[in-house]
Amino acid sequence: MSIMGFATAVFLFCLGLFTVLTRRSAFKTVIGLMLMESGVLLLLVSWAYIPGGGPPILPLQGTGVDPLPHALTLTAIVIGACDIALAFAFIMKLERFEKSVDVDRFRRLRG
Amino acid sequence: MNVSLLAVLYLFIAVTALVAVLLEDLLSAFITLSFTGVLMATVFALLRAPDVALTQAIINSGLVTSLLLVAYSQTRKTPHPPEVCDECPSWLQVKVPAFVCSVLGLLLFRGLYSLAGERSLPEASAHYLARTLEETGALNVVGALLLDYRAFDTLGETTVIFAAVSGVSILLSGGKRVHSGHGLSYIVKRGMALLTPFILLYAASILFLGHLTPGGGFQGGSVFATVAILMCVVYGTGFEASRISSKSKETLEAGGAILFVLVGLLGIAWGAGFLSNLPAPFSAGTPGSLLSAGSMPLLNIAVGLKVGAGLSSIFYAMIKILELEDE
Repeated sequence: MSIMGFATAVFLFCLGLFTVLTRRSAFKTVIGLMLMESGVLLLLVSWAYIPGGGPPILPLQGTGVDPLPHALTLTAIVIGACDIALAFAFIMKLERFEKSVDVDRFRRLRG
Repeated sequence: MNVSLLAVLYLFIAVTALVAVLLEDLLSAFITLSFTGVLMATVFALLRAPDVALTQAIINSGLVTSLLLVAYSQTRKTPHPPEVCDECPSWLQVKVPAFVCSVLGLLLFRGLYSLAGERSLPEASAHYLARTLEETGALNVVGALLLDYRAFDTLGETTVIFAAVSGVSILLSGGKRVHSGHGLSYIVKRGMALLTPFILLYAASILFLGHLTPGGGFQGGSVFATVAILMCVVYGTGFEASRISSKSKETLEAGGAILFVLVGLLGIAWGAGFLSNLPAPFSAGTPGSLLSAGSMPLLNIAVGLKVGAGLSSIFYAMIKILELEDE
């Protein structure tokens, strides 16, 4: 049951990592980061699901699903959005100086 | 629980994510990615996580997509590079990373396989589900976790938002805001004027009922930020800035942070500890009424101010340079 969620989460994470490793456009790198983040969110929420559980809103009928991963996921979503906004700011700034969004050409960042 | 529906949704998520990665055209990739986000929100709702579904739908598939589009339109004059490097051999470019990612995926899946199967509530979560009403007076357990049991985490999170807003503002400072663009047609402007009060009402209801129903400061604040973005799209870029200056947004954001810390300090003053709720002089009220759950409505307002002002500042900081380049 939850194994499908785990499989999709692992797929999203690895697909995101593959995108970060192989694509040259900085935007594709951000898409990869977003996919990795989505994988983690999906993993947490599908782990929190308990068969037969209701949403964690009181009063409960029967048992509820695990609310703790939900709180963690919520935090992760908001922080992820802020990270992505910051990444875009970096891309826009680099594009102005380097006239490119190709991560292979950002050579001034090399130590 | 409809297992086959969930399986179809998982399949769609995987396929749309793959398409978003493979598409050469960035604009199509972004739209596909936001579709993945909507599908994930649906899955979260099916997995009985209404709070997470609401946040995912508003922030990840709404706000982040609009930021993606702004950043894309900022850099649209720059030619986008080819997908993979043409100088390096293709095995180094694609095959080795693909192999590494597949092996990592298999290992992760093997580790997670043992976690699947019958699962019961951990002790802490069972405590939260059983005692939240008694200990906080709130009905929304996730909201109580965020703003009472783990309120210190939430304070840290708002600090992260502050850091991100500062970073974006510093990186994109120096742009000049010019009144460019007159927005969309008269009909759209009138329609937006009719809709705005209802969107604001929706945002306020999510915000103020955060301790009773799914929602809270993060989601409500994000809807407020969405109104600012819609104003920018419909009425042209100068409109919202002429009504609400960026200074007043800064003030609102700082006000949210100060309110949060003040509520926390009140707990210390009462001798109950930082950010304590019911042990401090906050009344639990009647469960289910608007003014209940002690300090949670106050903290929701604080977080909502912070998130709403912060995200709309980020959006307007990104808009600024666009106009500078258009001149």
